[in-house]
Amino acid sequence: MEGFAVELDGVSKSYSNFEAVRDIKLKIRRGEFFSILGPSGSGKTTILRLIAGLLYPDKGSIRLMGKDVTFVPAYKRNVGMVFQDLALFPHLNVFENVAYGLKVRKTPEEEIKRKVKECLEIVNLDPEKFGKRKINQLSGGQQQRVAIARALAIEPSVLLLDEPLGSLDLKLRQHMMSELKRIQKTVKTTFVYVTHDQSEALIMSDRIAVINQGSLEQIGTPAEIYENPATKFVAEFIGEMNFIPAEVYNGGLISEIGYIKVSNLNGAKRVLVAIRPEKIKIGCRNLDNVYNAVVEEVAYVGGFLSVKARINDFCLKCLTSSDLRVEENQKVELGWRADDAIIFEA
Amino acid sequence: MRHFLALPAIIYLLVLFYLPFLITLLYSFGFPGFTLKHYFEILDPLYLKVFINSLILASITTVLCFILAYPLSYYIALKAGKWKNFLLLLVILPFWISFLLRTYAIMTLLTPLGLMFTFPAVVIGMVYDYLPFMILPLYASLERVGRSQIEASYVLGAKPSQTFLKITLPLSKSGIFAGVLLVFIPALGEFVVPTMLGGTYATIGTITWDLFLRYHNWWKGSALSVVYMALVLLAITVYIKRSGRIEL
Amino acid sequence: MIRFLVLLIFMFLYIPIVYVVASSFIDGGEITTKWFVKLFEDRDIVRSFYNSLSIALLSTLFSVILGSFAAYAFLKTNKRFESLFYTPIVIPEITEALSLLLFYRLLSFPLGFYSVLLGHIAFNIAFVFVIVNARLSSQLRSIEDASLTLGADEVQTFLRVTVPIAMPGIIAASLIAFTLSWDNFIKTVFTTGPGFQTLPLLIWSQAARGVVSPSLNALTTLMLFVSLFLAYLYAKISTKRE
Repeated sequence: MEGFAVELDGVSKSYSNFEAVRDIKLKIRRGEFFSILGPSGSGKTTILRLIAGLLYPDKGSIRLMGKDVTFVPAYKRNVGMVFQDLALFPHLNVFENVAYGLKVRKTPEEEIKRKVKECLEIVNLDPEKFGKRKINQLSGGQQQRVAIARALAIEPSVLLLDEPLGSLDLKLRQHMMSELKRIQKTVKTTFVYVTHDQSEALIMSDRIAVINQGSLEQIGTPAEIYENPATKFVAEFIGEMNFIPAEVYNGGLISEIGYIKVSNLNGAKRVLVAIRPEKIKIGCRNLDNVYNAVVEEVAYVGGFLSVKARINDFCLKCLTSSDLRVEENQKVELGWRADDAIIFEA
Repeated sequence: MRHFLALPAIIYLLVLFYLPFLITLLYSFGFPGFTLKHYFEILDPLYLKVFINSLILASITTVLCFILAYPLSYYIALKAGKWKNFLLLLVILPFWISFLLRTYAIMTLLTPLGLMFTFPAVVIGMVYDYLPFMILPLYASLERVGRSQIEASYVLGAKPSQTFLKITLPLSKSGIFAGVLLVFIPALGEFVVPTMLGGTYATIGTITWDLFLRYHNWWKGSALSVVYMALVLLAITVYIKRSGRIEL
Repeated sequence: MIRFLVLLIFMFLYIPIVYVVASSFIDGGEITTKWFVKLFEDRDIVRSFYNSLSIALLSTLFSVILGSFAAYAFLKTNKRFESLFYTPIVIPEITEALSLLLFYRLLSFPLGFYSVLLGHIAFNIAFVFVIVNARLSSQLRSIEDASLTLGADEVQTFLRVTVPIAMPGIIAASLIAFTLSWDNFIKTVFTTGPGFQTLPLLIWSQAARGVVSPSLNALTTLMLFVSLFLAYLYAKISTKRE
């Protein structure tokens, strides 16, 4: 099997008395769009800086394209990085920014011109029009692209991106997401993308690593992470989730909403039944678990209805087609298939 | 790692700024001996008159500076519109001319008017020299008040005078405080103006000068200086407590 | 109404200056430049000029180097240490001046050129620090990191990225330091020795007794123009950054 682009083995890093990341193990494949997803302060930027060589780990090893680079400084690693604040050089124009890495490598003039032109075109910036402009004359989105072009110019083995879309407005962000995907497919470079926004990760990535408080919770494809969250944190962090506390009883579970049939009991006595809002069907009878509920709130969310329904005193969030006619205070029947629920230890 | 780059500067300041202060403190206590007599000498009624002179001069200067600076700063910050930057430039320009030159300029004007060596001359000189120190902090804080808050006040029904008293003035408090500090404290220790314009008007500054450079009384001079320093530090501490940081 | 007041105050600020400048061109009833010519013939004045210039240049050089490095080192870090550099600015000059005098006396350090220079450098380091610190982009660390990832080592990053970005702030600080040194009186008069005089000291020695003279007028005018020129340079540098 071909070698990995990035391998972290047992990597840990602490600052004074604060442990930023603990025992990180991950293998990123070549050409992959790999995201590291987690809330603020979870350690994802630390991992990125460790891969870049701006930080050295306290424990563990880092390999890039098969070579051990654990203590190799950043300027010898040939990784490209797009920083959260872009970090473009204010005293150089667009051309000089993109050419910087090549100039440092003493690349011949002609080659530099060619590469810069190529990279600007990849990010959809006209070299003729933008080459001579100063950084502060560009819009946010344009600066974004220059930062990417600059990192790509050195033909890095891996491109690291630290929450690059954070400061852009919604429409621009959506546009840049598809741009990034396109660019990645064009240059075929491994992308390691760090974000706290799950929709970015889910839309763009081949695989996602979910991180929380310095440790990895799960690594998988977007579908795996969403459909089969490995931990309560992942289940809660990704998308919307209902959690119903329950206790083992009679081959099933007993909870506030009543008896719940499950397809797999993992042995714990107290559990949380996790069920996605879209897996709860309203008005269906042919399911493993069916309950009588009262509708508390209905909101139209463009093609779907977000319904908050109460069973006894417990509220569930449901997502159902807007074809259904549902009103507040209406009595409905709702339920789900046993297979669709995930059981976590409480 | 890179913090070592600051080391030369830190060492330099420690040796040539902080250490001398320590030495002054030692001298004030009678170095190489130890005694409190120099401090008692300062509290002599003779010196008391000097202290009062300095306080009077500094207070009058501060008040006059404030009276002149506030309307000016107010106008530039809030009413000048497109002239704002130009006027600000005109205000800052004298700031770049040294204290000494400005005092001499006042002298050349006062001489033909026959006002030299009078108390009013000293006051005029002081106000002239210290005015920029009052204008800048006032301007900065008035600028921050912003037109929209004043307009909001009008919309809510307040007359201009009410708006000024209830909104503008309170919001510019930090600037007023800073300006007063920047004028009053140094004015207490001023000796250039009283000497050049007032001949024999005695202040803390002129006495310090005499003690050091004329009578070579290092000990008494140090004690006086330490007392002055204590006042300054007190004022600064009060300022920091009230507003968090020193703004320049 | 307030406009009238403002006009008066501006007049108050500028009339003395205009008067001095005008006076330096008048002798008897006629306009002349002879006072300026006399300045250049006066040995004392020329020597004081060179003294002022050398002190100003040297103190600027050393304080800018030490102060800039310190500001760079303190970028985004420990706020507490910064007060170390702020104190020299808020403390009244006379207390600093006499402290230095005592210091030199204690060490039996000869008073003259060097005693004055060392004092100026101390004072200027603080100002340089504050100015460079204020103007150093908060993004600088990030930008340096970017340079490292692009393949430039620490030395190359410093030369290609850090220095060019810090340069406008350093130049501004240099202008201020030079001006402060050039105009400085109090510290200089306390720490100088027999025979060493700068221009401000010279002006004082003649004007301290309330004496106004045409040659002093001319000297003041010249020094005024130097100050204004420095102010002009500073304004150019400040606006250039945008």
